Amino acid sequence: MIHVQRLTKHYEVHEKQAGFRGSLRALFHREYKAVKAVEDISFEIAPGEIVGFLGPNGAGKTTTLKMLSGLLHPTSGEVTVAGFTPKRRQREFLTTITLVMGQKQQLIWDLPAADSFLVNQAIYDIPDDVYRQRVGELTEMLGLGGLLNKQVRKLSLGERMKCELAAALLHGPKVLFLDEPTIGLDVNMQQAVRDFVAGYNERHGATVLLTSHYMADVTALCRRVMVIDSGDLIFDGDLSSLVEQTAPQKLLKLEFRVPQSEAVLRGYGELRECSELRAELRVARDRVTETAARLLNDLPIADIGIEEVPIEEIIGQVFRGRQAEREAAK
Amino acid sequence: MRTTLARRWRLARVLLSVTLAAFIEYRAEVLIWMIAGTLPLIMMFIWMGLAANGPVGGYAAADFAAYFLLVFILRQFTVCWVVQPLSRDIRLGEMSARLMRPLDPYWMYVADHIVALAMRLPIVPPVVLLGFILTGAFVKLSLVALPLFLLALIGAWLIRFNMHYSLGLVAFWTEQATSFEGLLFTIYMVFGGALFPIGLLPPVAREIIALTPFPYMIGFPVDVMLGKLSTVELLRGFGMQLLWTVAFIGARQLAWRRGLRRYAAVGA
Repeated sequence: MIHVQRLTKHYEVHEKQAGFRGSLRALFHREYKAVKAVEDISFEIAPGEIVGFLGPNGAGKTTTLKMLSGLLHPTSGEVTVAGFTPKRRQREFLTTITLVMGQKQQLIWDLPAADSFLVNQAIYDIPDDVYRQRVGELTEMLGLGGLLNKQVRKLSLGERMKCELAAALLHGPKVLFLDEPTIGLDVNMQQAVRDFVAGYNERHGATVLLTSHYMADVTALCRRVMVIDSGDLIFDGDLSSLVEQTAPQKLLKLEFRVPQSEAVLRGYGELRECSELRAELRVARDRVTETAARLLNDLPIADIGIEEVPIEEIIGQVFRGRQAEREAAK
Repeated sequence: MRTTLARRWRLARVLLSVTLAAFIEYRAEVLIWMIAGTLPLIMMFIWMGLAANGPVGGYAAADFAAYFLLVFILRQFTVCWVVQPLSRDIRLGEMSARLMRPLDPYWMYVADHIVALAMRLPIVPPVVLLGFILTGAFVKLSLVALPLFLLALIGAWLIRFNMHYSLGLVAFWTEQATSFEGLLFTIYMVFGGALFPIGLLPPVAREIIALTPFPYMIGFPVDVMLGKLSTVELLRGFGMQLLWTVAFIGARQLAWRRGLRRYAAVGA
């Protein structure tokens, strides 16, 4: 559904120092700095896949999404989405995809969302019966009952996001690009958006590429993740293999019958948290079973659990590691 | 063919009715803009005062009254503020959302402006009619010219809107698009004939101004309605309107294509 080959995007940004002096200098002498937003990345996404796109701010996620949706032209490389070249922005292409930006909105601020829906119906030329059926379906899936006739400016952030999603999906796109769709939403609302995306994918077999800061979005929705950092694609594969590959440790959660001293526990692994009756140890992946056995043998253990290190930490580790490498290279 | 037409008709209807609904939210503002647009009426009183003791450059008080009442109509029905929202949408990246839909964003701004005209319809003509009754300037009008006047009004709108739209698109390259607008407005008011009839100027100045687009946005349609123009002058005037309309539509399309390429290159 999506083919990306050796995609690269460089741009020049004009730099200005802060303050009046900086403005004056910029007036006569503009300084440009080349930014490598995306560097030679390639991937394929099959129809119906949900792929999570991870990376710190400024890593190139949004730039890639914008190139896939035709807003940005690549510096080099090839992109096709559903058989179209995005930058041509043909009508057929635009009606096949949708781009939802959590921080940008298309709904008309002073009117009820229903009015914006009508505009989209006319722009995308959706027949009345199809339109009614889709609005009905989206209303049910997103719980929009009663929201569509309220002025958009009077909706809460979460309610607005739901309406934005519905507006962006009215034309029944086959490919969804979601850029931070849950940003700024509370936990319940994040959950609702996540459930909706999963449900929509299931019902319509739509292909979804989503970026998010919230790892929970990714772990809940995506089996496959792509990790991008400073424009490079550094990982593409199963979420679980990302964990195995990059997290050499596992987490041992312990409960004791009798309080234990920190000093004793340090002998078994890297001690992360310790209160009197509870402790968390990081232990190398290949020594987990053996360590657990020793602990059970040596100490009055009430309960023991073996878990994966949280995905946030793993990703954090990957990025810190790369930063250290880059600095070492300098 | 028919279905395309039906689709466009539905799109126009929906866009206009939804835009109207949004405007009604701002009806107080619209009224304030209209009051702000009464400069031609003030100019009318000034020139009528100057002509109280005899004609000025061939214009009697009633001539000035008729002239500026018509200028008021032109100013009200060619109102154009597209530079501000267009350049803002480009600079703040709001254009991205509009670009994702299969419709040239141009039509969204056109809809805004057409609705603004519709909202003036119940107010401006009665005010002008009252002005004509009070000043007795009716005699100066040539009512048979009404269809031609309406045509010239449409021409004036097309020139002005496309000129401003092209200027707004400059925001793709620089953040200063809106400062040009002030300059443009001043030239438009003077050369267009909104402060004094261009007919008062010496022939050389008139000939030079006639080569610019400005008189075709105010002075020319007004003169059409006053029945002042010969057939040759009418043909020349409409020819110039057509020329400038085509020129600014061309400029707009060129700026749009180039601008989009740049937007696509630099990002929003």
